[in-house]
Amino acid sequence: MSYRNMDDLHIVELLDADPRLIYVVDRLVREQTGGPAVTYHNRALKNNKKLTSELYAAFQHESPVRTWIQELPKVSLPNDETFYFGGLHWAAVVVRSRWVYVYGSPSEERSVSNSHKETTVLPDGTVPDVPIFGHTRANGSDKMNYDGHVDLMTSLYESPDYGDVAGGGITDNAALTDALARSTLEMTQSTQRFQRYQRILEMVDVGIFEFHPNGQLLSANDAWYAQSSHPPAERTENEYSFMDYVHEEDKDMAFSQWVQLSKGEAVTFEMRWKKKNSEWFSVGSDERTETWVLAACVPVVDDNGALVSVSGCTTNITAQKENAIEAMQRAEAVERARASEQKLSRFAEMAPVALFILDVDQKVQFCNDKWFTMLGMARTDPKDTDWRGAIWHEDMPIIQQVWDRLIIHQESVDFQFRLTRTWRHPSDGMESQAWVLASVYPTLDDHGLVCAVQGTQIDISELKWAEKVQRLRVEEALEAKRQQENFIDMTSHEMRNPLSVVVQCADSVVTMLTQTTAILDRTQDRLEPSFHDELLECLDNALDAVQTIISCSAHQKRIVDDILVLSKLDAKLLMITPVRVRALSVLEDAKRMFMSEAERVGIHLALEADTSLNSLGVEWVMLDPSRVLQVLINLVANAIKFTQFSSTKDIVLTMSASRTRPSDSDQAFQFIPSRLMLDSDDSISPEYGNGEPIYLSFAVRDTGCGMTCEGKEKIFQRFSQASPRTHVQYGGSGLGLFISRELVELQGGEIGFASEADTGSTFAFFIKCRMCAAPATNHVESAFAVDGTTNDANKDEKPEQVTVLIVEDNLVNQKVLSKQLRRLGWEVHVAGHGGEALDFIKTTRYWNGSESLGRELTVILMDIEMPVMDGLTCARKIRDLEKRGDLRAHIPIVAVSANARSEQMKESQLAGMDEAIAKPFRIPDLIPKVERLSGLKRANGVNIRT
Amino acid sequence: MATTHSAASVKSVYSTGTDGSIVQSEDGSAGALDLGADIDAATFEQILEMDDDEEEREFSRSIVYDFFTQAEGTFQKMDSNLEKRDLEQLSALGHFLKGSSATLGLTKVKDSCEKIQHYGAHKDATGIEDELDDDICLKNCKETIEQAKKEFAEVEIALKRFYRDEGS
Repeated sequence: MSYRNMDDLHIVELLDADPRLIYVVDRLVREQTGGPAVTYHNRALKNNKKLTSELYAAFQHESPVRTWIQELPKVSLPNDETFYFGGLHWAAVVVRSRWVYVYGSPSEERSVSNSHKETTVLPDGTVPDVPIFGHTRANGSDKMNYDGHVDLMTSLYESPDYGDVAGGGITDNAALTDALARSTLEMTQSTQRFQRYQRILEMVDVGIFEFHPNGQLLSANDAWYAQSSHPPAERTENEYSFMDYVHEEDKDMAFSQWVQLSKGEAVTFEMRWKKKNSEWFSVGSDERTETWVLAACVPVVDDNGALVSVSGCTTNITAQKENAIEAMQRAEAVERARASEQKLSRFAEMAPVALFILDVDQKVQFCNDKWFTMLGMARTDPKDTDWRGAIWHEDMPIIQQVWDRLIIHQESVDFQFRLTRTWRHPSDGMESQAWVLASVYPTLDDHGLVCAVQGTQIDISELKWAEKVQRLRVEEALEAKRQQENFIDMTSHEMRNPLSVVVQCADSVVTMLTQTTAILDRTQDRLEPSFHDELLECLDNALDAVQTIISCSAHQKRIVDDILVLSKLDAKLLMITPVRVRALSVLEDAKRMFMSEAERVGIHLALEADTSLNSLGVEWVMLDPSRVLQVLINLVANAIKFTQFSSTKDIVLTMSASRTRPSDSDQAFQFIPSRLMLDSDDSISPEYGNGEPIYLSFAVRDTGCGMTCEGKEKIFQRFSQASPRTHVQYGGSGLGLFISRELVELQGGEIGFASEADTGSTFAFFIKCRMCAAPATNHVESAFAVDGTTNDANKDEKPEQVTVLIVEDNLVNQKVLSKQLRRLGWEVHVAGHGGEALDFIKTTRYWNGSESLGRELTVILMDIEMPVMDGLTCARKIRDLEKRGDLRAHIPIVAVSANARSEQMKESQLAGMDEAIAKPFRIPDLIPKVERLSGLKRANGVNIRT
Repeated sequence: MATTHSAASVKSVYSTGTDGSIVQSEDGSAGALDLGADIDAATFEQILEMDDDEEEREFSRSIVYDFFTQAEGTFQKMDSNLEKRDLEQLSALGHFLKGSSATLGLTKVKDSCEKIQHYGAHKDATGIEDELDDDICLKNCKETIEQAKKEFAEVEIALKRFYRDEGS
């Protein structure tokens, strides 16, 4: 074992190095001697063999020196009583009650050096105690500080004669005496220092203790007793008695520390003593459950490494502990608060929502970054922010209103506003004012007054954009639908008029053909028979063809009529106008209308008046006969269509009445539920008068082909037929039943049907009406008087006769164009050049003075390049005539140019022409231009037809 | 009488191109027609459609023969104006014949006539660039008139064959 530091120096070495004669006595009684025994003697004593043997002999039995040792006090302080033995004066120090450290001074030595007598006479050796109490609390070291020893050692080593002393034998008595005197002085000082320390330690509440290795308390100071509540050592004989006073939770730890100590290791640890309730120490108001101490303990071992005792000091650290715990708790609380605030502030920064707090002066108290970016402002100190500039000026009033509500009414408000900043849609690049949705709410102070306004904002620009786009789309869709309907409506009107004419003309052709046939008959004898027959056949064929034209046109006209009714239904323009009518007349009218058609295809058409009419006394009713008839016409027409090819050809029209609303169960068929909720009697319009409400039911039963199940569901839909094949076989628009349904529902009723394939169908409907008294006169209002079709504003408007003047030099072109236009039904006049055109104009009604006798003229088609007078010149002249008043009104002129180049178009416009068309043109391109111009003429209010 | 007229007019409006069953369909005549590449079939068919009688083709025949007369007369006038070096007249004549040949769909003749119109107006063939030299203009006119005559002769043969064939 190498001695790395002073701590490793063994006390035995020190004693051997001591020039004094020293021995140690173990006061524990030995069996063989019956008293204490010398357990050690140092080298200096060993040198005196005689004295050593005398000493050992003295301890073999009861002897004065042994008795002296035995009677030394238990707790030792340096004893000033010396004992004379073997020619030497011996002083003794008792250590830990058991060990007695005895050192001797030769008596002649005293006499030799008198000057040193005092110091040598009073050698208060304290060596063994120093290591125990020299332990310092301040640095917490668990190492021993051999303060006393160091001093002693230093003095010994510093002695130049030390080597000789250690070497063996006292060679220089003077030097030795000097060294001894010095070390004695050092020792005295150390002792004093130690006692001073001890007093200080007592004052600072440092407990000092010494335990026997068996766990018995050997000694302790008051501070220790105060801390531990342990009874005084004198009163406790129990081993490990201190364990009873250790806090329950620390017992295991404390014991393990003890084990460490008993292994010879120094330990420092913190532990708790139990709550103080000792009979020895009054704790007063101290209510603490425990006392915290810092214990620093060292084992004390003998020469052989055996544990002699355990010593140490304890410092009361309860206050620190409690402070520490309290401080820790406070720190934890602060940390928690900080963490939660940090969390919130992170939320505030990370949220895609702008957050802000304004004070009552509208100054920003707090806001997050998002708030700045949302408002499109650079990040600045919130207090200096003027956010009003970020708000779209038109929306500032909104802000003011909101503020008033917040401050005055103390309400929270959700509102939207625009910003000065614009927002650009990422894909379509459309730029618009950015939109913000804000929620604000007031914060009230203790007096219930608003002290701040908190708010959140989100950017809803995209939402607004989407909303706008959607609204636009809806508007567009509605507009498109409206236009489409308009288109259909218009087209229908346009088709209807010519169709009327077609039917009209075809009718007159039939008449003429019939007349021709009659003439042929009269002149039969004047013609060759073969020629006559040939003619007759031609006429027959012609008649057939015309009949086909009539039926085709009639069919087309019906479709057009249906569409028109439908568009009126859609536009809610169709009015129900109830008039007084004999109930059965409607049915009779329907029959009359179809009588001839039915006869032609061999169908037997019958009428049935149900007994309910009589029993309920239904004769005169208020209803709109034309609307009822319209439905009946549809149903009967359908019935005829689907029955004409059946083997049995019967159609029965029935009529019945009931006071209650007919339902499915009353009938053998199903009504399609009305989409209009007209159930209550109140819903019937006041125009019906105030007679008894009654439901009139009509049914059309046929023996036709019937319908399959799939077909049934669709037939009342718009443009829908039972099957795609239906149209091929029977024609029809698919609108009839849809219109019928609409009309029936408008009259507060429902329509329905029952059908069985190959057996026939029954279509039935009921309407709501009121009974009324018979008219005073005998006049019978016939439903037939009201035509099934609706009143049409354009009904009387015939297609306008177009008269056109072609000004064209080229004969070939003249002829072709004339032919084409005549084929349109237009009246065509031709002029070879501008001069001729002017001559012609003088013959028209435009010319002043020819109002009544002059010719019609709708439009002039003017070629540009012509000999004699070109088109441009002619046009200018015409406009001049108009200005001069020779012409009564503006004559529309269309420039016809081989060059469609824009400058030429412009030139013609400058010359006073209204339109231009490039040559060669197609007639369909010309028609709308002419129509527009003739329309303008009308719109200008120029009535040149007088 | 007014009614009859009206009926006829209505018939023609609403039967042309919409209802193929009443008048002869365009497809039908297009298939039967083969007048060669010099004549624009679609344009000429429009003329043919105007014939009230497909056997006689009185109308279109008269138009076509009118055109023959017109063209021959115009070429004569062109020749005399070439001698007179009257470029302005040449241009007007070119324009005149251009109009009727365009109406009949006689594309080649029409194109040549347009050139004559341009050359006579001191322009190049396209009518864009100026050509101020009278001699060059006259030379261009002369060449193109010869060209036009040749082209006319070709369509004349084709058309005469068409009508002769139709007639027989």
